Amino acid sequence: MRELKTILHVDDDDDILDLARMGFELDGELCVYQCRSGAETLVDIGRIRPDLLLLDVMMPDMDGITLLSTLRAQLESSDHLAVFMTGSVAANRTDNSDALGVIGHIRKPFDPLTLAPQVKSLWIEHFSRST
Amino acid sequence: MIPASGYKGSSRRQLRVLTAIYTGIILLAVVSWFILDRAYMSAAREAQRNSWLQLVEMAEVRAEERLRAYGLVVNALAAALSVERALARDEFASFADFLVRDNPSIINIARAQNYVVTDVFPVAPNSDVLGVDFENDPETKKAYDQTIATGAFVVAGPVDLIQGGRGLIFRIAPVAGVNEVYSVVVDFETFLSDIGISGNQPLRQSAIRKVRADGETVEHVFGDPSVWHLDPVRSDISLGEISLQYGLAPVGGWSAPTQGRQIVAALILVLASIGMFGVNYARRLIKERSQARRQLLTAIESIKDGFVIYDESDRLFMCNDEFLSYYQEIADVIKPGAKFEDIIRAGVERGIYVEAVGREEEWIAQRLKRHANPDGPFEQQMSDGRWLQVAEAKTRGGETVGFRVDVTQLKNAQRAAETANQAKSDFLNNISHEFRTPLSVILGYLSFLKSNNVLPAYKKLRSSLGNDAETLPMLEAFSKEVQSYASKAERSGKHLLDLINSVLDWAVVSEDSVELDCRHLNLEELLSLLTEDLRQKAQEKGIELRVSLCEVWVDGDELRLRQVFLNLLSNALKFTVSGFVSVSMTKMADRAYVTIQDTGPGIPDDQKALIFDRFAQVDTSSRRKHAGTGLGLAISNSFVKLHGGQIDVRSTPGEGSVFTVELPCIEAPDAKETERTDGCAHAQS
Repeated sequence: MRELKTILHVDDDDDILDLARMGFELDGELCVYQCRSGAETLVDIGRIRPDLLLLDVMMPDMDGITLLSTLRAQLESSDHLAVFMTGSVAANRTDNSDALGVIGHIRKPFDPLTLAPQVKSLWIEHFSRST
Repeated sequence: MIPASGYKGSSRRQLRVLTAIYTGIILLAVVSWFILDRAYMSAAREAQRNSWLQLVEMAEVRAEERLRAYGLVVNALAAALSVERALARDEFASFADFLVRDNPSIINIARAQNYVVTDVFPVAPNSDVLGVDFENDPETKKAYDQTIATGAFVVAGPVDLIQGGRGLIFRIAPVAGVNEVYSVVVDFETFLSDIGISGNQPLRQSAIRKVRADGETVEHVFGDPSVWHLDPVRSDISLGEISLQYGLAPVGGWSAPTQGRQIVAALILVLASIGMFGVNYARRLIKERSQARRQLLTAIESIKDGFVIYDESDRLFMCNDEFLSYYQEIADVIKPGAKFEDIIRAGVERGIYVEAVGREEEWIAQRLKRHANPDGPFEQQMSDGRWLQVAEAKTRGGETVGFRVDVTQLKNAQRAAETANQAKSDFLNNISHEFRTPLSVILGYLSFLKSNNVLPAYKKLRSSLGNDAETLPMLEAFSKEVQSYASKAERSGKHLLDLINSVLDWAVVSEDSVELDCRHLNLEELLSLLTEDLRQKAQEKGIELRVSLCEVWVDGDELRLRQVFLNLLSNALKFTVSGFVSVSMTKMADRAYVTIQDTGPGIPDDQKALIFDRFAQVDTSSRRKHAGTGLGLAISNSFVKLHGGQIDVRSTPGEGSVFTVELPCIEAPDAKETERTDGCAHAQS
């Protein structure tokens, strides 16, 4: 199992970004970078090289799923794992998320205090499943 | 309209033919009557003539018999006298008397010598003849000479006799060269009556004339000469050189019996009538048929939908104008006798079928298959923007009957409705997302406020205060107060979230776009976890929560079923003020029953049917009290129905309600197979 150290969080809402950041800061174990759009992510990802992407599904310009597909195509690598943050029940049904490396979903609204533990447990769950 | 072949004017032609047949029958009847009548007449006349011919022939035979008899008499006389040539007058008389006795028609027997009548018998009535010298009568002298010359039997007459009347004279000279002639005179009238000819008969006309051997008439001797103009039956009675010709004809000419002619006429009339009746009947049948056909065609033409018939070999039989108007682009191909395949191929080539564009052969094959085995109506999109509903059926005779209904308006309305519905769903989806994002922020910050003592600022403040006994409790009190307010705000925020989720669920359910994520599910486990979650809430309200579960597996969507039971249990807890809420399970055959009972206010009978409707709450005034969208039961009911089950409700107002969820259940998966029990494990708290 790889160690989870760096997370790249993408969301178009500043408040959500703040909340998530506060949650991760309270936890204090993870290094979290944040982007406000898909385009920004495509620029920054080469520099950041995150272990896990935390993506909002519904974003203007480029939604989470498109962003993930684009990233995989652009970087020609399949080792980007992602967790989607989604507002609707239906959204986590429509995807071929396993193929894209999606290891789990976190429903909005989320509890910022338990966000870091949730992400960590999804990470552990994924690797315990795949081994 | 493209009518069935030969429709136009065919009835008129049939009527013309019928008129010709009528005329033919009448002509035939008249001609055959004429011929038959003639044939009958001639046959009847022939038969009559034949029977009359027998009469005259019998007369002839009888005449010949008589003549022979007279010949014998004369011969006998001659023979006898030849022995005794100078027969005394007495002897002659007695001998003659002997000969005459049996022949009353004989007027006299005479002997003449040297043309002078020397003897006659009987003497008395014939005394005038005695001594008559025929030397001076050239005609008689000539006859005498002839008789003497030939020595043969000569018949003469009829001639007017000296003694009066008319008679036939039979002469013979027994010795050739000797002028001695014996004669027998026969009364002509008596002779005729002997051979059966009489002058006065009511129906027959008789006549007799003398003819020579060459057929020339010499003299009329008896009866009415007009008979000869009536084409009489005739016979010749030969008297040597000349003959007596006997003619017989009916009075007024030959005629057939009218009765026979009437029968012939009646027969022809009857036959002609039967023929006429038959033709008339056929005509009426044809007329009725064509009328029925015309009605049918008119009806088909009046239909405001396209109608078409293909015959058993799949060639166009007929169609109405509406049908043609739907397929105007290929109207030139739609002709009687055109093959169905050719018609649709033409349509495909001209691109009138939107569906066929780009996959022509495949579409044609599909369409032909469908045409050959019609199975209910389907829709066809046309290049002009029209939608046609196509319904085809096979008749018993193998024809294909088709309807084309223009459903463009319906289709447009349907599409508009679908678009509107989609717009509504999209709107709800977007709006609930838009609601959820700020709500996430609100609830997120409230979460920090609720746990404000973990915030770095709080920790910093607390450490700077040190162990100040006076200010520290104030800080704790402030933190608690913020926590309390944050909790209250969070509760409302979560309620708002529930409402938003309900609206979203309702949107999904109402457009029937729910997709269940079914897997083998342990219902006991699901309910057990759920009741644990709610136990605290029940305790807070002082309501007893009774749980009695057993192992039941279903093939279901965990999330949706959890939602259903959460909704039912939350409702039970929400509306029950005191008493209990119980959850129990049973399994019968392949159905599982989950019963949720409460001691709440209950549901009046007239409301039971409505509670599964959207936005329904029994007491609208209590909506404020029991916050909710009224969508819960409607959504739950839809989810249970999607699982192939149903929700049943029994209730007594004032005593409580019992909701029973029925779901199809499955066998426990193999791993659990050995542990499966039929009985229920009871648990109570």
